[in-house]
Formats: sequence, C-alpha cells, structure tokens
Amino acid sequence: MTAAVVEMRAIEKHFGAVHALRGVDLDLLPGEVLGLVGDNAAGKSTLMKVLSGAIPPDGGQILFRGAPVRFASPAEARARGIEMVYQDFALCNNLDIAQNIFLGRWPVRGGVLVDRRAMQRAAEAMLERLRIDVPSVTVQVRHLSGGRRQSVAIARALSFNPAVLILDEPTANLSPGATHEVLSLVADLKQHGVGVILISHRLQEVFAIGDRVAVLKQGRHVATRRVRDATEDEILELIVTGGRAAATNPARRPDAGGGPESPVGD
Amino acid sequence: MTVEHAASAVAEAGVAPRRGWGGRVMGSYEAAIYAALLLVVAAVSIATPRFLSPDNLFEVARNFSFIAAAGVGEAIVIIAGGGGIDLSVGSVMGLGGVVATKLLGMNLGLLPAVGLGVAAGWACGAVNGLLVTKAKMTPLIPTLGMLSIAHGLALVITQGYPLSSLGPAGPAFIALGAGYVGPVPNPVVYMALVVGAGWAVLTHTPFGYDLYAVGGNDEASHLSGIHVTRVRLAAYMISGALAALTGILLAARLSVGDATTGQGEELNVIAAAVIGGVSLLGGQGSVLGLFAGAALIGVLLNAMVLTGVPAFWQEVVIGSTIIVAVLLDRLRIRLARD
Repeated sequence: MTAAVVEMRAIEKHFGAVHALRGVDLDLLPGEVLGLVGDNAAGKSTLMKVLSGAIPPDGGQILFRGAPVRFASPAEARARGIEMVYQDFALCNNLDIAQNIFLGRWPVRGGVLVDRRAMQRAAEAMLERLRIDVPSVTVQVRHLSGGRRQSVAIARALSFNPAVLILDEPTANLSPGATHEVLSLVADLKQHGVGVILISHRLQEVFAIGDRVAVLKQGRHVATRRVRDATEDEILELIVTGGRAAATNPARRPDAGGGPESPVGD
Repeated sequence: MTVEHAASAVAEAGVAPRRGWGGRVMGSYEAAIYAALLLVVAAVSIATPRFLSPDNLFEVARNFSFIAAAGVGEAIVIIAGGGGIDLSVGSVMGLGGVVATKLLGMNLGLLPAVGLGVAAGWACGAVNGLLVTKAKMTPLIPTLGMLSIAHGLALVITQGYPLSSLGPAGPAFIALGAGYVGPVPNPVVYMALVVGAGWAVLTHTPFGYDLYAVGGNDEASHLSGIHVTRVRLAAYMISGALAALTGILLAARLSVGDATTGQGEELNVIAAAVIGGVSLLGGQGSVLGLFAGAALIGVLLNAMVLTGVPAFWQEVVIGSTIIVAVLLDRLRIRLARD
C-alpha cells in the first residue's frame, strides 16, 4: 500500500462556543482524488483551511509524508506543496491570465524588470500542459467565462507544483458545460501525480472523478469509502444521519445542543 | 450564453493582442482620452490661433507640468485600491516648498535643502499610509487631516510671510525652476522625467505589478504572498515625496516659499488622474492616461484665459470636469460588468 502524502489526526477546532472540528482524521494518498462531502456545517472548509495553513488547529496533528508539520500561514503550507483554490476563484479581474497565474511571483530579469515575455511563455506552456484552452494569455480574466476562470485559478495553484491540491466547491457556480471542463481538468491531474481533495456538495461529481470519498458530519469524520465500493445512496445516508459513526465510535457522541464551550476531556 | 459572450470578448481581444507598451497604451480608455485631447486642442487652436504658438504651448506645458508630476503619485495611490486617495497633495506641495526655501535661507546647500523638503513630504505620506494600512482608516479622513496639518505646518514655518531670502544657493535654486534645457522649460523636463519614471515603474517593475494586483483584488494578492499593506504604504510615501518635490520646483519657479502655494491643487491633480482613466475603485488606469488628463486640464485652463473667460469661472469648469470624469468612470465600471 502506498504511504499517505497527508495524514490529519484528531484535528480539533473551536470558534468561540462552536466546536467546529471534533477530532477529525483524514488521509490522502498520492495521485488520488478524495471527495470531501457533508452538509453545510459539517466542517469541510474549516478542515481544509487547517490543512492549507489559513487557520491554526486547536489540537491534533498533521503528518506530511509521515513527518509532523505545523503551518502558521498559507505560505508555510505552500512551501511543503499544499495548495488551496478558494471558492471565489481569488483572481484579479483587472489582470490578464498570465499575470494571474504568476500573481506575486513575477519573473524578473536583470533584477528589476518584470520579464513579461517569459511570464507569458511559461503561462502558455502551463495551460497547454493542462489542456486549458484560451486564445491568448494576455486576455483579462474579467472577460473569461466562469469555467475558464476556475481553470485559471487551478492553473495558478498547479504552478506551485503542489503535491496536494485542495479545491473548495470548484463547480459551485458553473454551468453544466463549464463543470464538465473543470472536472476533466481535475481528473487529468492524477497523471501529474497530484493528490486532490475535492470539497463538493454534488455527489455525482465525486462519483464521476473521485477514488475515495470522506464524509463529515457536525465536525466529525463519519466514514471513508472507496467510490467503486459505495453507492450514492449510501453516502447520502451517511451525510444525513451520520450513520455508523455513533455506533463504531461511541466515545465521541455528538454533544447535545450548542451550549457554552465544553472542555474536551479526552 | 456567458460562454458565448466570453468567447466573443476573447475573440475581440485575440484580434488585437496587447503587445508591450504600445498595446497597453492604445488599449481602450487611454486612446479615447488622447483623442479627446486632440479634439480640444484642435477646437482651441481654431478659436484662438495664438494657442499653437510655441511660446504658448510651452507655457501651457509648464503650467500643467506640476499637475502631472504630482498626479503620478496620486495615480499610484488610487491604483493601489482600497478606496485609496490622497487629498493632501496640494498642501504637501506647499510644505515641501516652504521647508526647502526656509533651509536655503538658513544657508543650507541646494541638495540638502531639496532633500529635506522631499523628506518632509515623504513623512506626510508615511503618516497617511500608516493611518490607512495599520489604523485601517478610510483614506479620505487621514489625508483630509493631513491637508490641514501640512498647510498649518507650512504657515508655522513661514509665520504667514513669503520666504524670499534664499541664501547663497538661492540663484541656483531659482534657475532650477526658471531655466531651460534647449527651448524646453525645466518644469516640463522635470514632468517628462517623472512621468517617464512613473510609467516605467508601473508597467515594468514587480512593484508596479504588485500595485495593480493589490488594486484589483487585495485578498487574492494577500493569499499569493504580496504584502498588501507594504505596497499601499509605499504608494502614500511616493505620493507625499513626489508632491513635495513638485512643490519645491514650483517654489523655485516662483522664486519664493509660500505656504499657500499648491493650495487647492489636489482638485486639479485628482481630476487629472480620474479624467485620465484612473478608476477610483483601484487597479485601473495608467500614468500615460494621467498625463493626458493633466494636459487636457492645462489646455482647458489656457483656453479660458486666451478666450477671456473670467477667472472665477475656471474653478467651476474644473469642478464640473471632475464630476463628469467620475460619472464616466462609473459608466465604464457598469459597462465592464455587463
């Protein structure tokens, strides 16, 4: 069996009185697409923000290629090869495609001048490798469709050569055609050896391109299933009921109600 | 639908790919503002043929050179976004001139006097920038306060009297403002240097790229590792320093340090930037557009003088021009969103 590229162990996170993550375990294998599903308050985005260094966990441990790591900022996670693409694309509409891909990392020539040509050539090569079709990398991002914009955002994340790519609802606001475009891009990433965590509320997507699917409910990891061994109905039931979690893990029953922050005694 | 719309927009852009600075200049709004400038120049020269005489043209250029030079700093602040604007440039121009002339009068050399005058403006910009980025104040407020503070400090230094005894370096200082390079007045040369440098920095350096990125989406810039607050702080420092340097040149041109020099100039400067296509929402506009905006204001002011429009009406015209320019800006934003 391949060793996990990322292992999250017993991750805890409180936001004031809200116990957002209650000892979540998650692991990602190299080159797999892991669907991360759950209803709205399940903690999917919070868990991924912990992994990407955007918010610090209150407890638990992250292992990267087997070694414990601690990320104080997205830059530290990025340095290890963990990239997150946020739901709102995080692009600069006033800049062109090449500039967005190299945002803040402008190739410099002679120590002072931005090498625009080199930047454009690198952006073109990158988009070609990912088979993202744009007429010109000098088109302002504001003129692109939602699907293309998402593809550009993913291309920027990939330009950091990440080992792990986290996508937060990448198809949330896309048309069916654009959704297909983005999903096939993500499916192709396997060939580049990138492990992908796909946060999604559309189970069909996860079943279309995912290898495994992890279910969260109310800040707990309920189950992880191989996609080919599971059915959508089964996963849906896990999302809604939390299913077997309570049975297999009686020590971690959900707290009744949202009272004041209760001390975590284990 | 949106895909088709985007495809056609992309196809249009594909017909005329933006190549280097030429493509950037002729992009869109800048081309329109240069066309408008040519039209106004044509109309004015038909109405008053005297307008096109070389002497008058250099006079016009010398008058708007101060607006354009200070405008480069203003444009940088506005492009950096976050509602960025510097209302204090006029007063800081006055303060810079007063500090430099006061020091000259205390027998300081030309370079140290000019250097310390610029440093005073830089410090004003630093205070503005820190209040905006660290204290998270709306840029209107600290820079409006600085408008008053800088003017007040200039009055404290001059005690209300013009400073006209400029010490041993005085003649060299006056020559700085009144001299020529060939047929070109020094202030015009100074403007050309500042506009050229501003253009180069904004379009070819990492700082310029950071500036547009921060102005376009500060959250995305931050996530990509750009130091948003540092970029914005630098923008205010540049604006303050450039305003002071410009004010020093203006004092040299007038051979006197006066606290009232530059008063109200912030309106012309902001108008030049906005007319030139620098969007108040940030991330949009260029130094070359600003230059055209300043030239347009200069030509309009000169035309009013040549055609005998009473001086009192000039402020009405400039104020109206600003409002029209901001309306156009809003219109452009709405069009861009559709």
